[in-house]
Amino acid sequence: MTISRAPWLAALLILAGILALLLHISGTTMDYSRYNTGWNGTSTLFQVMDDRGAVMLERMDELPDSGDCLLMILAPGGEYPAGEISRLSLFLDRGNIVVLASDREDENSLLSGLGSAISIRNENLSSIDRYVDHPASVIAFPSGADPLRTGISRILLNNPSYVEGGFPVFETSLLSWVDKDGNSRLSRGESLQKFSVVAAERHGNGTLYVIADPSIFINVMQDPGERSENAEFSRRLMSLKPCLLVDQGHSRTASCPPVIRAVNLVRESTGYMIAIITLIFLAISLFIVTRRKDHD
Amino acid sequence: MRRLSVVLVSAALIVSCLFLIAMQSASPLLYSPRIDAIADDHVNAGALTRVTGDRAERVLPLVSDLLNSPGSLILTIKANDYENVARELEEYRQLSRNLDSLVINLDMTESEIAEFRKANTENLHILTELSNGTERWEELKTLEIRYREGGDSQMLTSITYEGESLQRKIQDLYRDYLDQEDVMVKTGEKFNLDTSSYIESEREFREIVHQVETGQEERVSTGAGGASTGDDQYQLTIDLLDREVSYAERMQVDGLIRIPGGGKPEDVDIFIDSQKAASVPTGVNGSFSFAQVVEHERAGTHTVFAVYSGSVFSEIMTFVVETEDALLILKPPEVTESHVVFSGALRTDTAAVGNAPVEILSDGKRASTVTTDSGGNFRVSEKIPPGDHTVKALFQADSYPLSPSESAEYKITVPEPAPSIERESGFFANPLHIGVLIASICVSCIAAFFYLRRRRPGSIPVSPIFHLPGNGLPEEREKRERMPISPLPREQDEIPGILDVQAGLEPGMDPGYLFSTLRKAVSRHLSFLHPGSLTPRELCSLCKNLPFSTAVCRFARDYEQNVYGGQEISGDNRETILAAYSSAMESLEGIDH
Amino acid sequence: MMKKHLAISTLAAWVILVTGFMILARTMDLEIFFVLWLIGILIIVELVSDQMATPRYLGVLKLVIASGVILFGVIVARKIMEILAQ
Repeated sequence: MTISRAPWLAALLILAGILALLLHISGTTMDYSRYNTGWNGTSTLFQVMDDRGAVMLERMDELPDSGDCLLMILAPGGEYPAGEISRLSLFLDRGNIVVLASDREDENSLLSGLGSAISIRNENLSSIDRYVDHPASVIAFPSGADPLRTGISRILLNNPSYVEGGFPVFETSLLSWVDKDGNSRLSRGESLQKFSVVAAERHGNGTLYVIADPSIFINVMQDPGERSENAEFSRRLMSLKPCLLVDQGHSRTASCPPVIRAVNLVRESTGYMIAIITLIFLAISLFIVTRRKDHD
Repeated sequence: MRRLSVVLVSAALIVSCLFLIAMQSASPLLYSPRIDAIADDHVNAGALTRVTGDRAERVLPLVSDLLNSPGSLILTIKANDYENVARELEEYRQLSRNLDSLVINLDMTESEIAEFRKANTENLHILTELSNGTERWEELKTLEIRYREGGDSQMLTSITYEGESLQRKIQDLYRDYLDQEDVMVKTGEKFNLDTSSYIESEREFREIVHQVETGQEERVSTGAGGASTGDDQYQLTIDLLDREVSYAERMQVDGLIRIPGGGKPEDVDIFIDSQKAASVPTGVNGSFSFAQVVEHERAGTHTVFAVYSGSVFSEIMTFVVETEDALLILKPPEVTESHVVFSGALRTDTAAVGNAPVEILSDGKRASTVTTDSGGNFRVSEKIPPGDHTVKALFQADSYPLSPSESAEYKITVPEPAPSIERESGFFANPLHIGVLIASICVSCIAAFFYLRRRRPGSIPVSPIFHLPGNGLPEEREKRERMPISPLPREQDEIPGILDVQAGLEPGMDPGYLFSTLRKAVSRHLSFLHPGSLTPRELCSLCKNLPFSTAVCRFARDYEQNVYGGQEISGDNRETILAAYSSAMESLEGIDH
Repeated sequence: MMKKHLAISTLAAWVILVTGFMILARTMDLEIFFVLWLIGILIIVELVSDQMATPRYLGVLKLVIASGVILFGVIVARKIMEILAQ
């Protein structure tokens, strides 16, 4: 009895080890990655998007011709070629919505290419109104009459930039400043004023939203904790149009290590999955059988 | 062979695990959310302390209240409603205190809000003084009527003098109040607050000043004939050496009193700003002199007059205390281990500023306050956290006729306490640390020792045997001789049936003791080193193929059946065990001898 | 099942439980882990040890516990010095 139990126990432990290893390699700690279930990933948001039947786009020429879509460009990482920009501009003109969430000034070339007056200013924005004890945690309050702001009393930002131009949809409070000297404090020469962090602009029949902080979509910020309405904000954003498109060609949310690419390939096809599970079980039973023979 | 490889592999695994753990022993906290709370683009809000309450929501209403308070307060002062003035002043003071703590809590000591706070503190001071001044002014008005009715011209002169100095004071206050307008109104407008009440308050203030001025004019024209003296026989004159003085200069009043009849006059009282400053003795010729070094006098106009025996007044003179530039010099800070020494001096162009508070600011936060010595020098050693800091010294000049002054800024780098050997040696150089370490290790060693030596109640001590069979230690031999080997005494029947090991019955009767003795004897015989580790069955199997094995195994079987049977041992059974024990011991003895 | 096996399984279960809770709390601290392991092994050895017979492995375990107690003393000293340094 005791002899036959040991291999089972060993097999169980090995299986647990393999499971832990699989979990380990199927995760990543890359910023904004949709495969990152840690605090700085966007797995929560993408779960919600998947539930809403979001379509992931690799290239801009996959954009549909209809006029009832919303395209999310979250934390873009690369440059946009002129062809894609004009494609995007056409998409906007048809009455669709484009949401660009970025805190880098690199996206200003995309914005000016779209003919937008909005520009992103990547500065060290700080505020007295914060939710955690860190100058990067800034609270923004609704402003203006955009439909996006209705029903939301505040959103929490995380190391935001700010935008200039367009109609402000969310602004920081008056007790905000750009921390030029980086001392995390309000110093002489740093004047207090409101900064726009979410701005909207009409573009043909469509609307362009620029969010100066993609970090509001990371897991820790989407956590429906007390006083956090970021999850509500992203839900509102998604429900502005019936069809939801998500850019995965440039977005840093698509970034993942090569192992995950392989794992995803497996995950996407059920055939592979079954084959692998069968193989694992075969290996285990083989192992046990040979062990028993040894004993006999 | 296989066993050896298993042992080797396990040993290697254990050693590598211990090695991995030892590598982390310096910082045993392997992971906590705080460790990776900060990424390039964002911070982990979940790992940081939450801020409770809306902080900005407290600032704006407070600023608004502070902008409105002076208006209503000045109106109340103007209405001479002093009960309400006291209450409103107290409320105003409370609001100012709230702002003070808010500015410090929100780390805004260098911001526009901080400037607003400074202007507001100044306003609070101005309005408190105004309230005192106007209250006194009203009192003077009442007194004036009384003395005029009584025809007391001396007291009327006194009142006129005091009124004169009050008027100047209120004028000064008004000027200071106007100085704050810029900051107050600018801040208010920036925060989209209504500043009309504040601007209105300046107009009201101006009216108060105007009322006082006209009142004083009337008093002088109708009163005791201007600034002349009292009785004709008495003549008191004063003169100021210097009408304009600044910090550390001497303000000197020289005077002469002539009294009818000649004699030596008594002391003369000198009043500065209607407050008695000193009583000075007069010389034989009636001359007197008073000097005072300017230190804490407020910048602006001050009045001075002399009074002889409470009834003879000199004319009223004024002097101006001018604001002088203070120069604060901070020498390059000396950074030592974890401490930074700041030294420097505070002076004006002509003199040193002694006993003055100098603040040392590190990254805008007050790190320390030091008072200058009489020579204006200061030196302080302050603990500054490791890292890069910008430091400077600041002189606020709160109660001095000096301009505030800031020293040059210095960038200093306080080194991280090195975690290297130096740090370790520094760590162990502290006798307290060594003491704690030694004490703790000693206590734990003692605890470990007692843990190993501890015996469970009722258990029989076992000790490994390190000698060859037959050469037992003398005491062991003695013990053995005392042990019941041959058939036991008959008194055994009188022993109660229940066997209680804990109760410590006669050892000879206790099966546990018999087993322990037999086990020890067998182990000694076989040079087995750990007799305590043997169970009865193991004892039996140990004796396999030996001459005494049958007897020992029979004892083991009987012992197990009776002791582990879970029932009371009857007399018969006990006898069986004893018999088995005796025969086993006998056969052992037989072999030993 | 032998007493020895029962003891080692319990200890393993205890250590896995402690690790599991540490993962749930998202905090890994070797010191806490060590102290909890020491408490676990102390209790298990107490329960396993017999009045009459002390198997060899128990003797070895007791030596391990004794050295654990000394290490615990060092940890306590470290903590005290950390508090003193503040």
